Amino acid sequence: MTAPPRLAVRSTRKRFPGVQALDDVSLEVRPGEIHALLGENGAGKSTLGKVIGGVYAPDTGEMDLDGTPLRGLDEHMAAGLGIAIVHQEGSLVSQLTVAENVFAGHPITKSFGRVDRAEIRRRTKAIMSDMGVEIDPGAMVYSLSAAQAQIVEIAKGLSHDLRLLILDEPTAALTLTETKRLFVLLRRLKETGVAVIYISHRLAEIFELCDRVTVLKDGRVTGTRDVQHTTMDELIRLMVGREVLFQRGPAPTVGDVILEVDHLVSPPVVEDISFTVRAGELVCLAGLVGSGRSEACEAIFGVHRPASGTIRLKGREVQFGGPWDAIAAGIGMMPEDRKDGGLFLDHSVAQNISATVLHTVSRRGVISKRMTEELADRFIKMLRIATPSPWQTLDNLSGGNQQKVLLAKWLAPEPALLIVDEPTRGVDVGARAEIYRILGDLKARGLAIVVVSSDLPEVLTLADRIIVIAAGRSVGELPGEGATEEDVLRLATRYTRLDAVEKVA
Amino acid sequence: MNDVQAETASEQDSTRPPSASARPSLASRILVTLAESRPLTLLVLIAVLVIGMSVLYPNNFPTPSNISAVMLNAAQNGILVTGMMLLMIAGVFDLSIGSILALAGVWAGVVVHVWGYPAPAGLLVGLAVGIVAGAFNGFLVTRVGINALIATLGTLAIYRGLTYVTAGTGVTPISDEFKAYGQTVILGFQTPFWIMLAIVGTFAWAIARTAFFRQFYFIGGNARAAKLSGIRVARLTVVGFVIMGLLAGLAGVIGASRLNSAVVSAGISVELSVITAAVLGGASLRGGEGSVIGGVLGVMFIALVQNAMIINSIGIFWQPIVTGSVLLLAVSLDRFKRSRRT
Repeated sequence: MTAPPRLAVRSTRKRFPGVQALDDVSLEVRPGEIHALLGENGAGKSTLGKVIGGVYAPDTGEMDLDGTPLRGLDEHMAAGLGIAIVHQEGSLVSQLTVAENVFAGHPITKSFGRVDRAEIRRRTKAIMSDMGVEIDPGAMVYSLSAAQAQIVEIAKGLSHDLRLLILDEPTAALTLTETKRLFVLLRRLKETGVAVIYISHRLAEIFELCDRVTVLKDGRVTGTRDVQHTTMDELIRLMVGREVLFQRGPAPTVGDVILEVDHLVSPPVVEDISFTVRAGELVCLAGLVGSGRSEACEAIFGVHRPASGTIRLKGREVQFGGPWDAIAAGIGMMPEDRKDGGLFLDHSVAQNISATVLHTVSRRGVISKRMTEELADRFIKMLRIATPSPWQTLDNLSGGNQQKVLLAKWLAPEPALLIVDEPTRGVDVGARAEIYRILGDLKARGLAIVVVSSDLPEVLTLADRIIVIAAGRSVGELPGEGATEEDVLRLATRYTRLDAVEKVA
Repeated sequence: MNDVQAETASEQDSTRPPSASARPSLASRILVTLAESRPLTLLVLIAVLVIGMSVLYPNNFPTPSNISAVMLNAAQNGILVTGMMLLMIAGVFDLSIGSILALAGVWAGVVVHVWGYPAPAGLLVGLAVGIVAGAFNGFLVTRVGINALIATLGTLAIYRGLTYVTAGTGVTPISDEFKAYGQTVILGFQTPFWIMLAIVGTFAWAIARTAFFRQFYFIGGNARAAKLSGIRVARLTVVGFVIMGLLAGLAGVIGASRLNSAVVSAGISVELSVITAAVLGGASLRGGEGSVIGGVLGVMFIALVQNAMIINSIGIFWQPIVTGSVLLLAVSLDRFKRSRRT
């Protein structure tokens, strides 16, 4: 009998309101293996990672670690067993030192429960040098770059006897050089027998780094392959497994210039951004996370006042005192995080949709329930929002439907320019295709659209023109038709300065 | 009043998520229904108290003079809870209301008694003091960016200090004309009760139904999303504090005229009973929920408990224990409701 796998996951299911995030998922990871979890946004990769890391309790299913069944796994227990998870969003305490973070879960104490600072620093230094990196254990975490913070997260795992390391989209905020350095580190860990689960949707990285790959689609495993014996085409087929999501429409018939941004500067991130958008045109702002795309949009929308540069809307220079002025002038902006900046989750679908247009569903200042409902019904029909009633509370809807409510909320004021930051983050494949279709329809009706997206295939599908932003500057323009991921990445990374990423991190 | 109540209730019901489709036991269904609507919970509790007391003490409790006295006692907190509810819906609150109340009363007294102006001038100055004090609170919270707890804890002390500085031992008597504001009896109830009713009715309707006040729910629900939806969060928050200040000023003037005396220690620790009533009535410290009707029912409930204890000749010292226990019970019900939803 051979040795048991490091990790065995069997028939695991996990349901969130409105979406079956994991459906009968099984997975085996061997010691000393880098195992990729691949899938589209919303395929269930992160959920699976969090179930294995003890963050979420699965609804059903079993897990073994080195042949020992894991029961009632929670984060604390996982850490004790040597399972470490490095989250997308990060879990470090920024006001503490590197060493204190590394030993946060199990501090080494002297008498009376005092933390032995000298000892945790010494051990942290040892861990860092084992990993072949140099980070001062006494440095405060807020002073670290995104890449360094990630290494600290990994070190946190190594402070236990690490058996299984889960990395969720670790390279999203990293430059190419930093990514290479991370790979060297992971290979070294692998040689010591640690199993690594590497969650990503970046195919190139998987071919460079991983041994095996398990592909997820809509919460189901569609296949596990040896990386050596598979091809990109096969993996894409497993990921998508259906027809092309969205057919690029005919070249748009563009109208007048709607938005002209000229040498926009908005500290600390936006250093010099210029672009134009015409009616009936969809312009994508592409670039790495932290390059200043969202911040530029917020400056255009009046959230921050630009330090210099001009914004012209339909030929007239505008200066907004706040988002209310931008909305009155005909601009809408869907923020990237619908839970944080976009929606009122405790409120109903109808109340959310009417939030930007309270005056139009009111008569002499009194809200009309009937008009609110009519407005909501119109968008529920138009965007095919799946909800039992306009008065359903939003947190009972799936991510995709929430995203559509957010879109409706911004279409209600009938803007001339719509800025959409990450239109499909955290939505499933079906909803994603629908959102693409809706954006296409809106464009055809003469709306000027700006899309910010970190998802390159999405950029290449949607964009009529691509403006590449790097380190707070607009560094190049590509036609949407015919551009490749490599073209965009080359522009986006050539100008990247590390400190630009750091500022955001 | 009944109309307003009915409308508010239907508005709320329609915004609630539908109950779970599974069929739980009758007891848990009743519990769930009660937990879903705080005003309803309070109405039931108030009905139980009123019926129980009427049966047990038919000669003392359901008499016009006792009812009138209960309502008079509830009038001040009823006015205050209206403003507090608006602030809590927007996710903030005001600890300085007791001090604003005293400061407004003392200034009204000084203007009428010491300077000899007619009573309406005293009323207007009292209200103006409330507006200015509320605006300063709003300024601290939105423009300076101090957390509402700390900001109004500071002004709680400052406004009380200003009260002492203005009139070290208070102003007594104020004037016969001034006294009429608080002591006239209409249809068996004294003016403070009718003023409270007018304010509560107006704001209950406005906060539940108007586009302007709906924005406060959005601010409390998610301030960043509200801002990005074009809602002027800072400006409206200041408006909320000004309304609170104005109502505290009004309560101060009415209180002073009821006693025909401006007392420097008026309203000490009233903020705690008002916030208790608001939370009982469905407000939460996170903001985004609550209704004026709920807050007022909270005030009524506390006033009734107090009255019942006096009639029972149970020591009045027990009253805070009962109020506190009911508050904790109500909030526990809330936790139960939330855990059921997720």
